[in-house]
Amino acid sequence: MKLSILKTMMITVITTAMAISTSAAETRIYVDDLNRKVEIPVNPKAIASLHDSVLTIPLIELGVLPVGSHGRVTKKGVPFIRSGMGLTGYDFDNSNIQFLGNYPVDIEKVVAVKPDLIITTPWQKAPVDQLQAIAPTIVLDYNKHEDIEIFEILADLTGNQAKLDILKGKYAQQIKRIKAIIDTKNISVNVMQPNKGKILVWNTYGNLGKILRDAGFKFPKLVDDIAFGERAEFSGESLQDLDADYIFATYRTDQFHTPQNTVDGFEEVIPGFCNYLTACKENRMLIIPREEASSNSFNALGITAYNILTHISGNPYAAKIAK
Amino acid sequence: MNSYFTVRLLNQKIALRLPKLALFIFLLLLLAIGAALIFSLNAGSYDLSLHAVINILRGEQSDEAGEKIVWLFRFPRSLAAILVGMMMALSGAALQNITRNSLADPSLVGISQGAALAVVTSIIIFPEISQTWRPWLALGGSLSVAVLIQSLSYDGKVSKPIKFILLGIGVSAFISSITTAMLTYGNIYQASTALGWLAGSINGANWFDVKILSISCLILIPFLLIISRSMAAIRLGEHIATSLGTPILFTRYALISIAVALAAIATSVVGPLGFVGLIAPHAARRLAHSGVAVHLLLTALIGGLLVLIADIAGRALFAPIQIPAGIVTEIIGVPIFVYLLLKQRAKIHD
Repeated sequence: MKLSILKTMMITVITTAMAISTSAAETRIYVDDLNRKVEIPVNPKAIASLHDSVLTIPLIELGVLPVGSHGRVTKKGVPFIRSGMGLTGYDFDNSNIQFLGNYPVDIEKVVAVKPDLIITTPWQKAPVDQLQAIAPTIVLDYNKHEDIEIFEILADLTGNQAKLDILKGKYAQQIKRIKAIIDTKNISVNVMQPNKGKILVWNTYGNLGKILRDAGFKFPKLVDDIAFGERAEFSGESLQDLDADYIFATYRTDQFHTPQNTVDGFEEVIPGFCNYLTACKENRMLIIPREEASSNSFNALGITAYNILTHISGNPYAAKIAK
Repeated sequence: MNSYFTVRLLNQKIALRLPKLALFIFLLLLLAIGAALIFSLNAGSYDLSLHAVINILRGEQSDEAGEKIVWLFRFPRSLAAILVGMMMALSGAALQNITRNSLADPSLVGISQGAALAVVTSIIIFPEISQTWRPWLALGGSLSVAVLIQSLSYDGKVSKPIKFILLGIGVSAFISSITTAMLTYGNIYQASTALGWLAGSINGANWFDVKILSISCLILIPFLLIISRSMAAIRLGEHIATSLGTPILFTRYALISIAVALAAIATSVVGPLGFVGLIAPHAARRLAHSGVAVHLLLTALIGGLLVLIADIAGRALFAPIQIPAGIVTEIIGVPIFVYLLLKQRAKIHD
């Protein structure tokens, strides 16, 4: 009896050890956006992320804390993950995520965190050959993918599809709620950004644009004419053609700007800009933080969707249109 | 005291008179490059003692990460910095000689601008082109612009230096404006990638780059030294050089071709590195008076040392933040350029 228990225990220990060693060594082939075939671990345990807002934030939201990340530096020299604290609660100073540098990342820092998978973008200047010499490296080109596709790829790479489905379900519910309360088909919207005396307009501006499009709002013709993923620059003369029932603009929180910076930017485009925009004159222009409006994050999507819902549904103008 | 060494070789077929001070400075510069190279192999954000670095170089046991850092990153990068610095410096020296203008450097003949246009076009207009093509595109762009300027300045028999300079400035300005337009109106992320390349950095250098740079140096530098006698004659003016039997047209074309090739190959590997070609020949002249050949050797060593120091400073001073060597050389170069410009103006007024 004792012998058979001992045998069973030994077999269990050996099988478990074999299973662990097999899973640690298990790899698969992945074709990245540069068409490179890369052998990557099936379950990466130590990911180095070489773009904070495009890769690190989505990874954290999928429940993966990278061992190291690209980041930015404040004027005082303190490194931070762009939108990290505001959207995920994680930053370099309160987690084990190591700061790897900026543009390019410090290749020696990448070696030091001993990654088993490196995810980078074509924007990052650290050469792929060098990174590949450290660990399997995937190049993810965000110009070829919508934000949600980036999440899908990262979920696939890290084995977190279930978590992504939950995040997608939450977002679908937020869009459903906006559609249920606001008559989006009959309300026009636009997102503008003053830039050096001109107005920048995107077909779909980040999270904010995605929510507005997904919820079914109308856009001015000039905006619909811009190709998806592209932007166009207009002078002050086009201001009235860019007018809509609701206008959104953003301000940079990472540079400690306030809405007044954006107002000043519009004044630079044309003094007294508010007189040329019905939405502004009638108090239907909203200036919101760019951090939430543009980040690739489900948390940001949620915050921005709530902002749109409350600001538009809570305005008597929307109620009037609904009638 | 005699301030020259006289060397006679091959039964006096070759006789060289070498200034002692210049030779002393040559040795000092060699030592300085050696010391900077050792420091470069030891400096970085990954902590490695000098002992560990020596062990790695001797192939003795060490940690795998340390070996990767020294052999794959620090060593090729340091050697590339030295070689690129030498090539840019010599290109500047050759151009200053041929144009007889002490402010000439590779950007004057559109080399950097040609490389920039080719690479920025590939990033912004044809983003599907792999980044592994960038060095070749840069080389193609540099050479195309240099050939264009050279052929435009050729008027049947000779290529006049002043015409060459003016055309160089004009074509470079035109090309730069196209590049700027692409950076202004292109996709913001692609423009940012292009700006990164334009800053000029040695961080991506590998052993293949070192091989290309070494072979180029081995071919081009001896050729430059061989025509140094003709360069010395040209320094005295065209008429005197002709009376001394110097083949002016051949020397001019050879010098321009070597200058363009040196700068184009260096730029294709690391991107545009400003002011090295301007500073190094001046520094060499100030350190020691010598003949053209020795001046070229001093110039090459100063260029190599300058870029190596710029690279070490850029990667180690604010690590893990990496400052491209091109920015460091410009920080050093701009004040020197302004000083030289003011000095030249003062000379004209005198």
